[in-house]
Amino acid sequence: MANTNINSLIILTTIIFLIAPAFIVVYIFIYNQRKKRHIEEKKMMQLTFASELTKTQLEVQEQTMQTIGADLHDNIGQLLSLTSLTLNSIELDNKAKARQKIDDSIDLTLRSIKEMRLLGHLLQGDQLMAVGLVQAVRQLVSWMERSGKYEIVYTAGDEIPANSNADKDLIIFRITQEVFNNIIKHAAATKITVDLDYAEGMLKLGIGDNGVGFVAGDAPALQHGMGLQNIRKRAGIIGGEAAIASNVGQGTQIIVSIPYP
Amino acid sequence: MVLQYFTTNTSVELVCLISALVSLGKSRLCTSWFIILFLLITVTTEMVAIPIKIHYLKDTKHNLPNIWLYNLLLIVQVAFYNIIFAALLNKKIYRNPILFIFLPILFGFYVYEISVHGLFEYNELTNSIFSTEIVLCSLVFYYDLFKSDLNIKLGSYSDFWFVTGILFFFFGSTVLNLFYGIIKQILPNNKHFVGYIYNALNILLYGFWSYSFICKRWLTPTLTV
Repeated sequence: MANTNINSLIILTTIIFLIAPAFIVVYIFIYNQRKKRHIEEKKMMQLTFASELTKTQLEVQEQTMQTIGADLHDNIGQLLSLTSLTLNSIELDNKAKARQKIDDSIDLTLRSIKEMRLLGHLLQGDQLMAVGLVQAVRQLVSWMERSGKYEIVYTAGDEIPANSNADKDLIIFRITQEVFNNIIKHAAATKITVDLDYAEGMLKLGIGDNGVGFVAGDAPALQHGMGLQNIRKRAGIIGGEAAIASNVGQGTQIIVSIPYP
Repeated sequence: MVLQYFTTNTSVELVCLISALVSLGKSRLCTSWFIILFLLITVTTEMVAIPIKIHYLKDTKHNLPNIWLYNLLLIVQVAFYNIIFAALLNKKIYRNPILFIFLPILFGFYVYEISVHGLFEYNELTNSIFSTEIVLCSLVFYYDLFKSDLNIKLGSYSDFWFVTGILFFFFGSTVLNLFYGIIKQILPNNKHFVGYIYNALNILLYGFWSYSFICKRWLTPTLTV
């Protein structure tokens, strides 16, 4: 009887001691499944990020090309046409008038050269990695200002890290570009403020305008261009978020916060 | 007469040895050949132990007439498992704290036990410490698996099944190891019962190992063991 009890006790204890490794093995299997899912999700996110980055790069290039094309046609082209017309209308017999027209032509040519230089800067903006985010946004602002339609106040904080993140810079630049596009197309604004600030590992890009604004859910930008959803999505891809505030007649304020660099 | 050599233990070990020869026979890894050699030594020891036991069955002086053979096998087991875990944990023995600490302790206890009771009593204490070392090594192996960023298919991961067999055997036999002395005193005529538990644990160990060799040969040919 005593032997049977001891036998049962030994069997029971051995079974308990076998349950422990069995539990560990099952747990490892479950954990491994989760880990595999996590690895796959991470891979998927990396792929999405890479494709989004390529898309952004292409969009930035396309936007730059459109700007250059429009600038060449509307601005430099006009200046050069005018120069040509002025030079053609010179009457060599009337030296005083000819002198005046030659001076005008020189002035027009100089303005063309100046415009070409600005265009060159804009082209450099496409190569963000080379000029840096602060400078690239400044060039974008300069280009907007040249239209004469907007009064723009651009402030960039001194504490923005020098060791920037090229991928993040590109996406932030693209967001800025598209917000500007939306302002041009839909806002009918006259004043724009652009703030680029850095504090506690976060880069904040704030763009505000005094345009017509919109009611949430009825945003015109949803139908045109990048859309507010896309701004949020792109900010999300680089670990940030976008806050959009707007009211009819009171303009729009967009603040994008991104962990940086 | 021949059939007496084929006990549950020897049969399972033999199956595992054949499985190792078929699966790892063409392997160029040293560890694969260590496994085959170890299984060969184990099977031989078990088979040699049977006639010795029968021959000395009338020996009344010593309770277990063939235990000296298992005491010798213990040295082979310690060497084998330490080498295998050094390979599995991707570290040299002297850089692995568990192996580095346990090896001298095991050596010390082995010498101490032999000097106290000679070869004809089993080195229970050494075996218990050895089991603890192997359980710890197995858990470290699992911990490394947890930390690893690799996308591993556990179902066909030979190293995992190899260690799982080891963990089941050594963890499961802890009760018997710890209470071996007491069981021997309380149940002197009940050795068969303890034998059954060891048989079950051996089936688990060599079953997992055989599957591990199959995984190694046909499913995961580039792994450590």
